[in-house]
Parts: sequence; C-alpha cells; structure tokens
Amino acid sequence: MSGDTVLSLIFVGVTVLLALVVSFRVALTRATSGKILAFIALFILPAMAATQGFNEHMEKAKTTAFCLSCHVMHDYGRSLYVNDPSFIPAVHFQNHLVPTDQACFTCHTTYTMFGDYQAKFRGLRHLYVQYLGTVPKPENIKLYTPFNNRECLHCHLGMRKFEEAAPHHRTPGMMAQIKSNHLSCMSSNCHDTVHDLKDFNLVTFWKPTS
Amino acid sequence: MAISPLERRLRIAGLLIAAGLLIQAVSLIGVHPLAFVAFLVFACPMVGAGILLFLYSILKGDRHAPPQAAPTGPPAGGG
Repeated sequence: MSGDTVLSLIFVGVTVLLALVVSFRVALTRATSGKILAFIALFILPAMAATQGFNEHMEKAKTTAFCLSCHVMHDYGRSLYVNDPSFIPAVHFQNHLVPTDQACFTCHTTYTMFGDYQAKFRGLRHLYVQYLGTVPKPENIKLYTPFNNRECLHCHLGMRKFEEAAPHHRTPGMMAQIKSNHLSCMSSNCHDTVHDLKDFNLVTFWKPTS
Repeated sequence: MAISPLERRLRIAGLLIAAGLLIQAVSLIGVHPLAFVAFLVFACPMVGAGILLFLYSILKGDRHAPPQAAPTGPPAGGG
C-alpha cells in the first residue's frame, strides 16, 4: 500500500470519526462551537475526503496492475515482455520509454483536456462487458476508434530521432500527414506490429533479471 | 433527550457520510476496477447525499423548534 493511500485512509478515518461524533452527540450542534464542528465534519472534510478519494482512484486506475487485473488482459500484459523490438508496446515498456507502472494508460489515454476521464469512462464499458456482457477472446479485442497519432506525438513530437528519421520523409509532405493524423503511425509497413497476440507462438519472452 | 427534526437530519447526514467514507476506505485498499466502481456507485452518492442533506438542513432550519424566550431585562427606563 502506497504512502498516499495510507494518508488517505488516515484522513478518511478522522473524517468518519468526526461525522460519527456529530451524529451520536447531535446536541453538540446547539452551541456555536458545535455548529462549526458540524460544518467542518459534515461538509468541509467529507468534500475534501471524497475529492481526494476520487483522485486516488483515478491514479490507481492508470496503473498497469489495474489494467491487467482482468483475466482477458493477461496476454496484453505478456505482450510487454515480447523479446522483439518490432513490437511497439514491448520496446516502449522494456526500455522505459513509458512509465512501466502506467504502461497501458500512457498510450491508451487521450491527450486532450479531459482525456484521462474519457479513458476511464470507456473503461466502465469494459467493466460492463467483463461482468454483464460476453467477453470476447483476447485476440478479438479491438479499439473503439483507430489509434490517433496524437497519442504518439505527445512524446515523439519534437524528438530529434522522430523528426529527422529518413522513413518519415520518404515522400514530400509525409511528416505533415503524420502530424495531422492523415497517415497513421501504425499503417502498413510502418509501426504496425503492436500487441499481435496471434503471433505469440512465434516469439520469445524477455525475463527481467531484476 | 428528544431531538428536533433538524438534529435528526444532521444525524442522518452524518451517518450517510460515515458509511460512504467507510466504503471509500475499503475501496482504496485494493487495486481493482470493481473497487473503483464501488467508490463511484456507492461511496460518492452516499457522501454527496449526506453533504446535501446537511446543507439542506442548515438552510431550512428548525421550524418546529420551540420559540426562544424573549430576552428579559429591566424595562427601559424613561427619564
């Protein structure tokens, strides 16, 4: 359990205690000091605790462990350990090009103002399918919409290795097409090997030593 | 001691908030999508309802409370 979670739990515990004191010793609120206590215990602290709890849950929901906690995602987690640099998620994860504890979310969020929340609300649909719908086979899971280059460019834009790479300038205007999402990074013959679960019988897996 | 309707509402608000926060605390222990759902579906509405009930209570006041006695003191003396 992280230090943040422990602090959250302590804060929630104190707030619960004060709310219960006001509930069971409600006569306290007849005095002015009791009214102030009630305002703090039943408005200020609960609002802060709920907001803090929401933020804590949002942070936890970004973790790799959270995404892989559903069984159907197991093979997607394994794809991070494929011993082949042409696998885009694997090369990013193994070389720490994305935070390893937020490996899924870093690429599968939307880099817009409320993108994090949009991503999590899409996740609620996953939950619906997981518990109330028909769970597809892992290899049949598809994105709702084609992957937007914006998510790649969030990190790669301005990066020398990206901007000066010869394959990105094969045709005039190619870079502009990439940046405007008219030419997908994952189009054919480019970075088109992503999770590719169907190829798992052809690959080996990296075993980290530490 | 009998409690007024205002105090009863405050008590319910406090219990709702405490119950909601307890669910929140339990949900924070694990890392699982269902913990997030429990927080969104149970904890948040309960805490929100408790806060709204508290605000409603203090805005509405206590209409059934016995009127406070008028302050007594020496009659204003005239010259």
